[in-house]
Amino acid sequence: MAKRAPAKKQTKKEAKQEAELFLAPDLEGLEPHVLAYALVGRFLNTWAFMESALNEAIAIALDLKLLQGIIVTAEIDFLKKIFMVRTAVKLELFEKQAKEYETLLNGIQKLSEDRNIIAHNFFSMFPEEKAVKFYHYKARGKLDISTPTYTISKLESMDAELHDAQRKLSKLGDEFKKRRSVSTVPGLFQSSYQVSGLGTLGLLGLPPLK
Amino acid sequence: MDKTNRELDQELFDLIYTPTVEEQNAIYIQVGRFFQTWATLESVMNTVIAGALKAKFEHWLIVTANLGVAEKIKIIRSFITASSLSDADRESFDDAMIAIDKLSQTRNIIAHCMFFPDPGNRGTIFYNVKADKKLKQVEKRISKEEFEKMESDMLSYSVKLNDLRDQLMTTQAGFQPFTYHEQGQE
Repeated sequence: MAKRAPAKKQTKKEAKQEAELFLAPDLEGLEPHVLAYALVGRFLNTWAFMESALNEAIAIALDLKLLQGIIVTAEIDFLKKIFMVRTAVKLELFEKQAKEYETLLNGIQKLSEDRNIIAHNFFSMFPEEKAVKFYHYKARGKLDISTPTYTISKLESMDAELHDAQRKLSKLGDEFKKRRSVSTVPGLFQSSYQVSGLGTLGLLGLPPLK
Repeated sequence: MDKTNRELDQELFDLIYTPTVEEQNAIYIQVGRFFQTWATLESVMNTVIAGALKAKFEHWLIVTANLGVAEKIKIIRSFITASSLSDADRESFDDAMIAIDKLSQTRNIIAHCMFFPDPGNRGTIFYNVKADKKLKQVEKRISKEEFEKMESDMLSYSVKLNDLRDQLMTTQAGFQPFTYHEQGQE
């Protein structure tokens, strides 16, 4: 078998390009209304990945095994998931660290309002404004009819924010794991997450990495 | 140094299948367009409720803003049952609502699951796990043609529900004379 050439060190520019490819596939060149569909579809998918990382953080925080984690998180409302992680953060982490994650969770909670607007309303692209408008109304004590407008760059930045949140939630899971290792004898207990080692995709029950 | 979850995900992702930008965009577009069409259908459902209640604009906005899709479907089906439309019309409209109910389940999967391009059928694979009484791993594949069929169905149902709204408004909903019947009575 031919020897593999040693991996070439990636330049910063290449790393950035690769990250952009994964985070934000090139949507340029799409017709305006098609671009609106693509932005909505991409936002929802990125949201689902972030929510999966949130599920994993809950499971690790509660010291649950894989199946237990799936069962607990599968039918919980999104906001309640945020409440659970927020409580676990306050219980388990030092103040400075807790503050950092509190900011993260507040940001995600705020984004969930955007997610609800994006997932539940009719929308259209306004090419001149480079923005997607959603036709929205709510009646929670006051009738509020509005057209929340998201510029393309705003949607791009929310997408990036969600990717960042997903990464930080995985890091939070690692923090919880560290806490566990302090209170358990190494090697005696190994959570199924450590066994699967698959990050967020571990919750999907996909095969382990070879 | 240990790899981050993100890096492991990326590795796994690459191991399974690496979609092109065009394939990735294609599924985003499919999902976005599905949501747009669903929103159209749901807005027509709102107007059916408005028409049946003969409610003022602000009033039906207040009602429908606080109803979930499942509740809207139940309410509209009840309007249909209580209406004085012909038996054939009632059955036809109710069948449409049952089909919309089924579509709403697919809509929920699309709204809440991570998805990837499905190279086999130019469609999309949605992954999720449900724990509703039974633990169930959902791996739903929706082909491009199935997406198109669902969109076309949703538009047809929108037209049909427009007709239902008009009939409920013009024929005094045609609501049947209402009588209480005792429990246990057929």
